[in-house]
Amino acid sequence: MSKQPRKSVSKPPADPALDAEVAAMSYEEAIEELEAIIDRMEKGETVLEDSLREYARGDALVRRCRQVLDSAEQRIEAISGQQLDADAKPAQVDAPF
Amino acid sequence: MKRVPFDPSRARGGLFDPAKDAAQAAKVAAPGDPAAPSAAVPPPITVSEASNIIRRAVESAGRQRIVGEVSNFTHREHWYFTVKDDKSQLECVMWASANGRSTVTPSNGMQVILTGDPTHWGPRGRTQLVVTRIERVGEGSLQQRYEELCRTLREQGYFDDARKRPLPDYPRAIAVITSGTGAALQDVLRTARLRAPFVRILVVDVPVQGDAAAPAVARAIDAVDRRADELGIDAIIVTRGGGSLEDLWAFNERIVADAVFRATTPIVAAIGHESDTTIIELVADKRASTPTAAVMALLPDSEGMTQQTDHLQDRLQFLIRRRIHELRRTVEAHARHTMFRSPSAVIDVYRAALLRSVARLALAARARVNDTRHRLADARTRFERHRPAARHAAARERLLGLDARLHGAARRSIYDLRGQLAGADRQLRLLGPGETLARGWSLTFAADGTLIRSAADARPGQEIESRLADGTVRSRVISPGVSAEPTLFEPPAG
Repeated sequence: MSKQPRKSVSKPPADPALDAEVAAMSYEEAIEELEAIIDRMEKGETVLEDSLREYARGDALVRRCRQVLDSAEQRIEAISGQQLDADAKPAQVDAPF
Repeated sequence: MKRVPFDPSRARGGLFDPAKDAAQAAKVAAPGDPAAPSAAVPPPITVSEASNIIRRAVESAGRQRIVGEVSNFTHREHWYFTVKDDKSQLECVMWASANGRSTVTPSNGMQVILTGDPTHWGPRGRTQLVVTRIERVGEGSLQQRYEELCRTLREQGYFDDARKRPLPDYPRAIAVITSGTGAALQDVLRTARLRAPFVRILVVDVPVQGDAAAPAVARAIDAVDRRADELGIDAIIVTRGGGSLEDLWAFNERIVADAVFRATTPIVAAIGHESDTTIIELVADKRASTPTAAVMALLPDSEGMTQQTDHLQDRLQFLIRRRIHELRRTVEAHARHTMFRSPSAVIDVYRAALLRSVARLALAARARVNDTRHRLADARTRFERHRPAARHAAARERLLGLDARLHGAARRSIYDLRGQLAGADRQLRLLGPGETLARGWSLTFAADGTLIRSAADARPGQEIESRLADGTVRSRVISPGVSAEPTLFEPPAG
């Protein structure tokens, strides 16, 4: 078979509902679902429409994972043991103290 | 020790010259004698002066280290208590400046070793010990207590691997229970920032040594565990830097072990140096030798995570491309099929088949129509026969016929019955007494009403009643007699 130039897969259309749903997921949840989608695609059981939909979802999950990793700002909160026991809310701190 | 009272007569030399004494005594014993010359006996000193002498004497004893039992402990700002053994006691005071630094807070009954300076306080006339340091004397040394608690907790399953929880793979936020001012916290924050800066950190500031530490640490663990969902905490690190066994002692306390045992949130403990193993580290889900190691064990490596995400993205794109490629090939294969090359050929076959079907359909339809028509006519005929009007007329005729027969039958019956009745009536008359009496016969009764059938029953002179057809006759018997001769109605013989 002659080698054909690899066509790049075009980006799936923007879907704000999907992005919003995925944005709430933790890295762990996103990775798990991503691996599940890839498993299904490897088994090749889906019809084309489903494959494309799965791909769009997988793409959104990848973006979510990157988003988590790219947040290089370390968020630190502090509270005393006593205040914590008294159900007070921790306070944000800017730099390590 | 009881002192023997001073006996001047036994003293010799110096001030104690008996001769002088006698003279002096004579002078003293004569009150109000102003002319008496003063001898070389020093004047009496004041109480305060005496107090000072005593104080200097007491203080000259120097710093002491004393073991005893605490009692009467009170504290406001300064600590006041008594230390005693079975024979003696000493009053103690520990000023606020000293007791604030004390790692031990005395309580009544506690065995202690006190380091302090004795003094005498004039205003109250009290000898006291000013304490600068208090050490505990326990039931055994700290090492022994540690070993004993280890044994107990091990027996109760606190150290079992089976009960230890796995650490989360990707914690979103962790709580760090430690001293806010310690170096351990700085190590944790720095390592976390390098390894996984996107993991949120909640610093819980607690004392990490002293008597207040153990309950504070335990309470912090309980509070984080209780509020874990609300605060989004997936794991806890408890940590502090190196120190002596006393310094680290809080992390060997039962109350801390219990808090770790109870907690449902996974806990990593890193206390002191590599060589220190405190009880909390044995009960925790993971032990780390240093605060840095704790972070490394708990937080995922963001480098690795980036690689993982890249890899999965590559795989995803590969798979979708492959799928599209497969489908495209399938489509192209289909496109090469004859159906697309000469579509009319395919259609002709179908067209012929269609025409045949149409013809057969028309034929079948006509036959069906005829058949239906016949059946309809047939049905109509049968229907006519059963028309309600015809059936009605037939029924009426039948009814009339039956009615006539009924009437005829009824008339005949009545005629017959009349005849029968008349016949029965005649018979009855014949048999009844009325006809018989009308023919001339009579009935004869005795006076008591009995019927006389036989002449033999009648007596001469008897009153009898004869009933005839139209009435009765009363008479008297003259001469009854049975007739040997035949009766009236028997035909005469011969």
